[in-house]
Amino acid sequence: MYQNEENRLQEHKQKYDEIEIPSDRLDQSISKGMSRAHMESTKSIRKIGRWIVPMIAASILVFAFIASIRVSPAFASHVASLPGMEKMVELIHHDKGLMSALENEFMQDIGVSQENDGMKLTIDSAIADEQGMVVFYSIETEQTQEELTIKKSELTLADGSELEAVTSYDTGPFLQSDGFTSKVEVMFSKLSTDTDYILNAEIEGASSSESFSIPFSIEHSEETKHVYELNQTVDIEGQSLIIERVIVYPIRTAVEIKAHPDNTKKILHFESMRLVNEDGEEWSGSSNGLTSSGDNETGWSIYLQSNYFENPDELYLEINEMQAIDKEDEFLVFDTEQRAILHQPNGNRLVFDEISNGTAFFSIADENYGFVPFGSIKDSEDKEFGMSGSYNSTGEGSTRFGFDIPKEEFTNPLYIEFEFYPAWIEDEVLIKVK
Amino acid sequence: MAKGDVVQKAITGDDTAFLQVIHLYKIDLYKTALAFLKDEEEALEAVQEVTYRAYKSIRSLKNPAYIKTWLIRIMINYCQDEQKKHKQMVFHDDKINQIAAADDYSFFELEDAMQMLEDNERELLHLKYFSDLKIKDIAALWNRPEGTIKTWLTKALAKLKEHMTEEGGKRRVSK
Repeated sequence: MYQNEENRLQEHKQKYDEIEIPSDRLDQSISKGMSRAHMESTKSIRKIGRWIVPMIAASILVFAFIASIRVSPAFASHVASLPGMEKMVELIHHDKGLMSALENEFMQDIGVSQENDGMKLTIDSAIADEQGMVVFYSIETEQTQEELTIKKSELTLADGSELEAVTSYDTGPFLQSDGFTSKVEVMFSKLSTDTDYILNAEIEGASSSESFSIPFSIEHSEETKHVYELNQTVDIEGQSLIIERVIVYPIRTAVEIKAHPDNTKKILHFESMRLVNEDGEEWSGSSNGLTSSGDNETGWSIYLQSNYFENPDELYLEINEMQAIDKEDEFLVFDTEQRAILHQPNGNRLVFDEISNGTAFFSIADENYGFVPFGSIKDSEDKEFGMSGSYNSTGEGSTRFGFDIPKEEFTNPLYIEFEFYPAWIEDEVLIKVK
Repeated sequence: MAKGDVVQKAITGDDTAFLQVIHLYKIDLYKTALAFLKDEEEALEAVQEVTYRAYKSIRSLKNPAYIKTWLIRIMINYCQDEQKKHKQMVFHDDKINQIAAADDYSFFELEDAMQMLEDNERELLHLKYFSDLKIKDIAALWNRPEGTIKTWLTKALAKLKEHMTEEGGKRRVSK
């Protein structure tokens, strides 16, 4: 009936098909979008001390073993069949510690809600221990919304004071939605037995934005952790690490480690660490969110999935490899005027590519390196610029990284601290925990 | 790995799979952005934003089969919001000349007529004729019967025809 219009539309489309695609820049846009999503899901990351979050954008190797410890589908479907659990299982099925907390009825029902102008927020439940908390909540709207976005969902103490914690939450958007279930994860920087909190949330719909502020209380159970004091020193390629203790909380396990001050290398990231029981069952890092905190001076807490409820008879800690560089190589020294690397770790693995739109790009010949190496930046007069945006993208046979050159005035060269670097020390360390 | 499997993995939070999916549809996304925003820079910005939004909400995608429709819709929503922000559609002449020869009258006529449509009509025409999606898929994603989508499509085409005749008439007079 409208053959002419249809033909015109199709011809029109062909015009668009003929245009040139700016492939490189398109890939860059994708990487930037990814980096932003990663940054945001671990929002208040810089609030306390130094937290390491691997910004893994495209690494098959790094994820290979994490995928293998995902919860078995049978187990997931068992828990999901408990009344009201499906939505929560969807949110946490990648973490077998949290799944097991659910199954062991460690979750507390909360069930308080607030309604604002056609939108209702209900705090459904929480899993809490003295080290952290996962709060589940649901949004229902009277009318289907084109798009719902979580602008904020954070906790404060009942008196309104800020938590000393790292908080992470998803932001959506949920499209064509009349509600959703989401969660806020909190990791305290000091152990806490506070029971009274307020959830502050701001949810944006198509036409309006609603703010909620809902007080709620949780209970702390009597015994909430298993502590194993180890204080064993291990040697990995000449670097000494003191494995102080393993603390198994219901939500996650913390492995506390210190670096020996005489070490010649700076440890950047513990790449493979897991707890194994007598049958070979493994608990490794959670596949997203925070994986460790601390640094070479203070020592680290490395977070693994919890086996609090399984409480195996025997438990071993396995450590294999970590990213490490010589202490004198902790910075990439780069001159933006000469457009040249003045210093980098042995092997010259980083190759300068280009400066484009205020971002300096480098690449390494390894397409499986899924970390963004660059951290905070200072100039030759020690003026600090904090952490800049940084990106990575994977091409054939190589990975490309970038950092944003400071917009303020600076004196060349720039010193960019390595948060990650593709150099590893490794050994097979096995420590009996219990 | 089959496409459906990759999408399924992406939904369950696998970053590598997610990137594969985005790379699979990046050209479609970019062209959609360009068709709405008419500017290379803005289209690239849009791809960044949509990558971000899609990553944040891919868990809400229930059926992997609709991934393309779903992604294009996020893009169109974003573009339409951007257009509203700019209040009026501004034509970037130098950019649009890359798409059509300056004297390609019929190109501009159709562009103008598309701008006269309601958001959802423009979206529908785009999904059907630019992104080559099946009515069945659009119906599933919009959660409406196929018959309804067909009716809307006919209505949108009718309006397009009306505007083209009208606009065309004016232009001819002024030329």
